[in-house]
Amino acid sequence: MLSGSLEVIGLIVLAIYIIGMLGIGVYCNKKYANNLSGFLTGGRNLGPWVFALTYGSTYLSASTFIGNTGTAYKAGMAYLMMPVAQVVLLPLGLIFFSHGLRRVSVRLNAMTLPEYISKRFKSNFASIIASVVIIIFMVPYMVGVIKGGALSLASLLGLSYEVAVFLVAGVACVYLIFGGYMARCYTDVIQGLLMAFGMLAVLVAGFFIVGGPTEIAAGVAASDPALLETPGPMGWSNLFLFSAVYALTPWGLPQLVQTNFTIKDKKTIYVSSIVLSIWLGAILIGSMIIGNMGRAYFGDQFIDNPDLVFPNLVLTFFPNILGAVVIVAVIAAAMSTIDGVLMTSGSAFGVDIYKKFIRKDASEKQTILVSNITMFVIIAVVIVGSFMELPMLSYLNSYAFSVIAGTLVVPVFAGVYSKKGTTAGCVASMLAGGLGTLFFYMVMPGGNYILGCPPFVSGAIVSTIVFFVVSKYTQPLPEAFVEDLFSKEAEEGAYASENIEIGSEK
Amino acid sequence: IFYLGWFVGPILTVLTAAYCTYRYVKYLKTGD
Repeated sequence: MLSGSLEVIGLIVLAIYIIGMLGIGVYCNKKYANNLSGFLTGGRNLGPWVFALTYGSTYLSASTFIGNTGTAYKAGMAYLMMPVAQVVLLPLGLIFFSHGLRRVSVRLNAMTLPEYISKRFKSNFASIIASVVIIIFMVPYMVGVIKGGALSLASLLGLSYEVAVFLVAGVACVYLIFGGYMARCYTDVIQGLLMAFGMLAVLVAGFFIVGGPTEIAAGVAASDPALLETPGPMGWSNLFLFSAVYALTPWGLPQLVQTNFTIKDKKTIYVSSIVLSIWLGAILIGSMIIGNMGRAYFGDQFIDNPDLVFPNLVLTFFPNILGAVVIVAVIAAAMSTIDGVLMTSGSAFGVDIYKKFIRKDASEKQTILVSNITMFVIIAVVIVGSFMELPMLSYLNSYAFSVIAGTLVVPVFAGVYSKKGTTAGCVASMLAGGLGTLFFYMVMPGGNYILGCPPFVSGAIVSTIVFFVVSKYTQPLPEAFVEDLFSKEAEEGAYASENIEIGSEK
Repeated sequence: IFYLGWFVGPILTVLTAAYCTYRYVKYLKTGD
C-alpha cells in the first residue's frame, strides 16, 4: 500500500474524487431529476462524448484493471490478441444497431428495457420476467464488482475493507438517488476519462521501466518460455470466441441497451463509435500488455494470486500522487459499472413493477421515490452480501450476466428487426433463453462449451429458434401496430426532441 | 522475429476507428 505521507495524499485525491461525484449528483438533481423522463433518460439528449464514455465505462469495470492484467500475467503473450473482437465489434454494433433501438423506443415511448419489451410485444408477463431476472441476477453481479473495487481500495490506501465497501457502493447510490440518469452519465464521463488515464499512465511508465516489446518478451520468456506461444493452449477459435461473446452480451444487458434509447441524434452514433473504438482499444489492449509487463517485471512472484499484479505495478511505478490517481481510476471503473446496474435495477421495480402493476395511478414523483427506495434497498443487500462469504453469491455471479443477456437479447433485436414476432413468441424465447443459458451452465459446470459454444451463445441460439417457431404458430400482433413501428413516420420521428421540459416538476 | 500479436490489436483499432470516421463523413454528406 501507499505509505506515510503518500497515503495521506492518496486519501485526499480519493476525497476530491468523491466530492466531485456527489457534486454532479446535486447538480443533476436540480436540472434533470424532477420528472420521470428526466430521471430515467435525461430527456433523451446524450451527445457523442457522454454517450461513448457512459457506454464504455459501464461495459468495463474494475476487473478490466485487476482481472485482465492478472489473466494476461498468467496466460502470456497470446492474450495480446484476446480483446480484438471486443475492440472491433462494440463500436460497429453502435453503428448498426443503435439507431433502430432509438427509433422503436421513441415510437413506443419506452424508457426502460422491460417497458420496451412489454410495449413492443404487448405482454405484461414479458415485462415481469425481464424485471425479475434483472433484479435477481444483478445483485450477485454488483457484489462481485464492489468486492473487486473495495479490495483494491483497501489494499492500496490502507482503509479497512468495510469502509472501502461503503465508499464504493454508498457514493454511487447517493449520486444516483440525487441526480438519476444524467448523474450516472456525467459521472461516467469523468470515470471513463480517469480509466483511460490510469491505464495509459501505467502502460507508458512500463515501457520506460520494463522496456519495449523485445524486453518484455525476454522477461516473459525468462519466467516461462511457453508463454511466448500464440495461440497457446486455448487455440485460435477460443482466443477470439471468448472476446466475441463479451462483445455480444451488451445487446442483452439493460444498463447498456437503455443508453441507446437516450442518444440525441444520428451524429451521436457515428462520433461516439469513433471515440469508443479508440477508448476501448487503449484500455483493453493496454491491460493485456500491462499483464505481460508484470510477468516480465515480477517473474512468477504472483502466480498464486495474479490479482495483485496491477496494484503492485502501480505502487512500483508511481510511489507518488500519480499512483493515487491511478488507484482512484480503478475505483472509478467499479463505480461507473455499479451506477448503471443499480439504476437499471431500481427502475425495473419502480417503473416496471410498481407503477405498471401495483399502483397504476402513481404520480411521477412517487414512481421516482419508489425507484430510489429500491436502489437503496438493493445497495444495502449488496453491501451485506459483500461482507459475507457466501459461496452461492460467487456461484451466481459467475453466470449472472449470461443469464440476463440470454433472456433479453432476442426480444431486443427482434423488436427492431422482426415483423413476425408474437406475444407468445417473445415470452417463450425469454424463458428458453434464460433457462437455456442456466441449463447449459448446470450441465457443464464452470461455464465450459457446448459443441464449441459458450452457454450464453447456446442459450441465445435456443431462444432465437423458439422465438420464430412459436411466433409462426401463435396469434400475430395487429398488423397496423407493427407496420407503424417500421413506418417512414417512425424513421423521421426517431430523434424528435423529448416532449418534456427539463427541470419542470410534475 | 511469428510478433503479429503486438500489431493486430492496434491495427484493427485504427481500422475500426477509420471505418467509423468514414461512416460519419458519409452521414455528413448524405444524411444517412
